Amino acid sequence: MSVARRRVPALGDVGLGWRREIAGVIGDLRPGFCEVIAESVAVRRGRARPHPALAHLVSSGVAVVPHGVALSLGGAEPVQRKRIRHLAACAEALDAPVVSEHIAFVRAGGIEAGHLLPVPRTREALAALTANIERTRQELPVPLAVENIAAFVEWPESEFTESEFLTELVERTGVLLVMDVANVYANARNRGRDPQRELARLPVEQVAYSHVAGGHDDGDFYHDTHTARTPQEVLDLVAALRRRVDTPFMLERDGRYPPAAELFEELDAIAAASGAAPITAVAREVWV
Amino acid sequence: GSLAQRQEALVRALVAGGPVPSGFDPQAVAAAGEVCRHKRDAHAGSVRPRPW
Repeated sequence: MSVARRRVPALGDVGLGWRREIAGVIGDLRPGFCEVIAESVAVRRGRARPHPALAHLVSSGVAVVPHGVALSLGGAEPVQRKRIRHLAACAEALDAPVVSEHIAFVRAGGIEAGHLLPVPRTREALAALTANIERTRQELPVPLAVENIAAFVEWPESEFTESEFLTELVERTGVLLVMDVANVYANARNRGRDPQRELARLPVEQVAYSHVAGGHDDGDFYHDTHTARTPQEVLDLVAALRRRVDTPFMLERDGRYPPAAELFEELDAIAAASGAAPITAVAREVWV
Repeated sequence: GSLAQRQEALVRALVAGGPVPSGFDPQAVAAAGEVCRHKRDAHAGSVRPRPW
């Protein structure tokens, strides 16, 4: 089986989400790249002012990817220009090789949902998503990648399967993808399907990088919370995806931060699953 | 209805006490609404009001 090539060479093999709470630990790691929530970066008068620790990371040569959560690319309404400009300002200030967002909508009729919501897999939604992606890319200084989300509500109307929808989107727009294998796992588990089979159906040639995370099972539903250790099933998806595409992987952690030693173990597990070198050796000497 | 109408109806059902749009699982919408409202409130709490 041939392996699809790396789409964004500036991104190293293993990275993680930059969060203020773990900025000290990240500063001692040697990440292949970091991702920062774009809306957490202050922008004044059109210029982004990243946190000093984040700016230091950039100046030390670590690629940083702004990751938007508020564009609402999947909304029927046109994406707001001020939100695109915010993302563009972050990309410029961080010298980012790529920026990313979600295949989702977060507001409608002027009401904020507070969470990423899935779009119906219909022709009308695909057209709206395509138009918003094109509108966004026109104002960005770097390529855009869009991420598959974990859906906690299912639309009753579907004209495409998930893989057909994603394939059609890529063919129409040529957009890059962020493949979140934790979301593939969450959706498969909640729909009673085999995660490996679900992943095997998804298009991977356009994958820029991939998300890895742990979640929480409340008995009825698996929530992609990013607050727990990555389960083995997700690490198995990391290995399966890496066999198909030369993609970098990054850990997402958004709360209940573990002791540094546990964080390093998790990063090492991701490196091992993807066949990459660990990024924790120097930091272990400092923190463990 | 149209995509815009359906999306607005879903958001209203999730966070504004609106009726569940046709075809959706009411239990799933109720559970998702709880998550949405929690996230929205948490975000609102993290935004400092401007003095400006």
